[in-house]
Amino acid sequence: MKIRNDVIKVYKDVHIWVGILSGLMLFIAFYAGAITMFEKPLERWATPPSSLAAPPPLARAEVLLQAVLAEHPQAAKNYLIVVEPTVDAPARVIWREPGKSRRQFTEFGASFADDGSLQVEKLRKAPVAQLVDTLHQLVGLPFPDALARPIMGAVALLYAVALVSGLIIFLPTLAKDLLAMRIGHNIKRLWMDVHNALGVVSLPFHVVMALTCVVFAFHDEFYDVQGAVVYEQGVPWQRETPPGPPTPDARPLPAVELLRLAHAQQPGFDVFNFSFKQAGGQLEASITGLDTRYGTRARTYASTHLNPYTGEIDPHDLPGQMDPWDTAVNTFFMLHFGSFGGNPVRWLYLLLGLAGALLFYTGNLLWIESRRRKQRADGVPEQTRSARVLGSLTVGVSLGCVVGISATLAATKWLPQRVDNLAAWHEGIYYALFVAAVAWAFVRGAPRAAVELLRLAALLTLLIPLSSLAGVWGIGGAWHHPGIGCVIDLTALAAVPVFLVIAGYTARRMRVGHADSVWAQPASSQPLPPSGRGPASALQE
Amino acid sequence: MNPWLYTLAALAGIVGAWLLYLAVPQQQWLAAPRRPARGLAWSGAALALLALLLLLTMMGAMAAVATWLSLLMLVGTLAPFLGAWRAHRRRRPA
Amino acid sequence: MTTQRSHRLDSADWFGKTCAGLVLGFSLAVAVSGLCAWLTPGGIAGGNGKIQFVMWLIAPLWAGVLCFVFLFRDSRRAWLWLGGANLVACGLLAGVRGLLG
Repeated sequence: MKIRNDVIKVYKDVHIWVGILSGLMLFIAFYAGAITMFEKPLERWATPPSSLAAPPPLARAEVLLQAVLAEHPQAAKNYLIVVEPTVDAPARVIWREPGKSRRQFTEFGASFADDGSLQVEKLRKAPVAQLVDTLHQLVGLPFPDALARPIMGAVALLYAVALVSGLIIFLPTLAKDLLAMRIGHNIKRLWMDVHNALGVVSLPFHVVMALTCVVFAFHDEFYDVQGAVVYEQGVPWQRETPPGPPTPDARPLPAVELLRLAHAQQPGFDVFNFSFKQAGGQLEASITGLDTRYGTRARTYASTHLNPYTGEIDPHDLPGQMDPWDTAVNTFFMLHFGSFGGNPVRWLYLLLGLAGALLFYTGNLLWIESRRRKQRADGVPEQTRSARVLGSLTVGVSLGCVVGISATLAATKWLPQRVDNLAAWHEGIYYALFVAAVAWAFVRGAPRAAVELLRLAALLTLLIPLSSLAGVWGIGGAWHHPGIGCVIDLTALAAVPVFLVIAGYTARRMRVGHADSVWAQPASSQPLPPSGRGPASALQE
Repeated sequence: MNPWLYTLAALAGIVGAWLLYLAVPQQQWLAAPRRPARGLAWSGAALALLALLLLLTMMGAMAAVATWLSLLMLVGTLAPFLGAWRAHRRRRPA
Repeated sequence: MTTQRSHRLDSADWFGKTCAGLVLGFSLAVAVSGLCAWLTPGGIAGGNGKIQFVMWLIAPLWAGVLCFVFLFRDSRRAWLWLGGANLVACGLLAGVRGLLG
């Protein structure tokens, strides 16, 4: 495809600048986002075991509920009957009491002790998975939501511009460069090929992420503007009124019966729980679960209204049964969350997300590489200050995010026994390591800091499965949930050699790679030794 | 969803995308690339299409297309790295 | 787009173009999304799903304008052309609201 040279030149400038501005924040968003693909398993892995007795069978849910309501009448306002209790929802009956903000709740679970008395526990859902998710959503910024979210939106717009400008630059040489990977003396060519390989084929994935993020950042503002400009009297949301009881003294059907009717109406829909809200004298019920044949707009479930007196499910909020507009919107959400196709797609998204993080990383490497001051006959020149600064910043921010997340995850199983404010501790650990890593990268210089931080990442990541192992032996209050939680530990274990291998390559490049580079050993201002400059050493640049 | 059918669809998608990679002149997996590559391209496209059809039989249309595209994108992203790795080993036999 | 054969595009006027893309791109996106809300099947009372869909439209439209605003020869042309497009789109939206509202 032919594009005029001056257009290419303009879009090259655009691409470079939006890339430099947004690349590192996008790295954090993608690395933390890749981990967030398994937010629910991570939350279960991180939640300490409940002290409640084993849940009574579903058939006794109403008995338990009556016992709860007798002692805690406020529970009637907002409660759940759980069909399949899990580590993070370890009770048959759970109720929510409002917290500080609209979306915050304190959850309590109830069960019967062996002697038949009522047991109540404040649920201790682990906050660490939420922290990683928040890092992802707010591109790693430690600001309150109201400040970080518009910045995230701006980053998303820059990201969209980076994608289109990158594509425009790539199009003229598409036939020659698509899927190419030329390893040789030309290191800039190599990084360019890597950058293209990571970005071009997965372009649809990236376009989806950029556009959905613009909406996630600005949807309130978009609605406000449309309410003023497009619609007659504000956005005309249609409110649904819950069906009233058929007779004044009618009671909701028991959960067992609701479950049977749900299976009959929605075969293939795996029910997680029934939730009930009391508002203005009306009982509003909904059913939550998942049909893996369809993607969902929530990350891990679909939810719709349920008539608690007849068991009738309102299907129009269920994927696969929505109207075309809702189906389209549901698709936008599902494409961002990877909430379709079950766990295999979550793994695909995890890998695509990590590839995305590398895309932004290699973008910065390319910037540094194309500003390299080449060696001349009279010795090795000093590299530019901007290249050194960006090198340190790239290493510090990216690896700081990696070590910070590993450290805060490794602390998960030790904190609950020792401290009260778990969320603050997890956040503190992350940002302490992140800030320290960035500072370290500037003090030590990019190459040495990269090697050291990668080794630290390996060590901290190894501590994740080790603390689960401590839990198996019951050391220091750590715990281990048998079963699927192992996958988290095994994944962390698999990441350890990866960090070490990259550290090894980085160390080798520092020794035998080009001396005229910010990646060379800092002390090397003397002329190069003649050996050690073959194609193999070029590969490690 | 039938896990066997899902696996079959995934395999068809992976092999299809891989054949499409081999059909591109820039591929480095094969030392002596098959030319003309039309046969590779057509069989790759046919297998990829088969994967899509299999996915459509077991999921909603949106979910099937999205799953299919995610798989093709990931294989297409990894392929050049695997090709370059093999070419590198070929050049310097261990 | 608006360049003549003889003129070579450059990056000098990037700030003005970016501002045009951000400001007028957004208002254009809102106006076009509004036209979609009124003129596509279901009309303005198309239900909650349609309300959300129409809101989502702003993102690709806004980002699209922002991506291609650099093709204008200078920022004055960017402001004029996008301003004109805004006038047309907002005029149409006002007309449609008057007719159908």
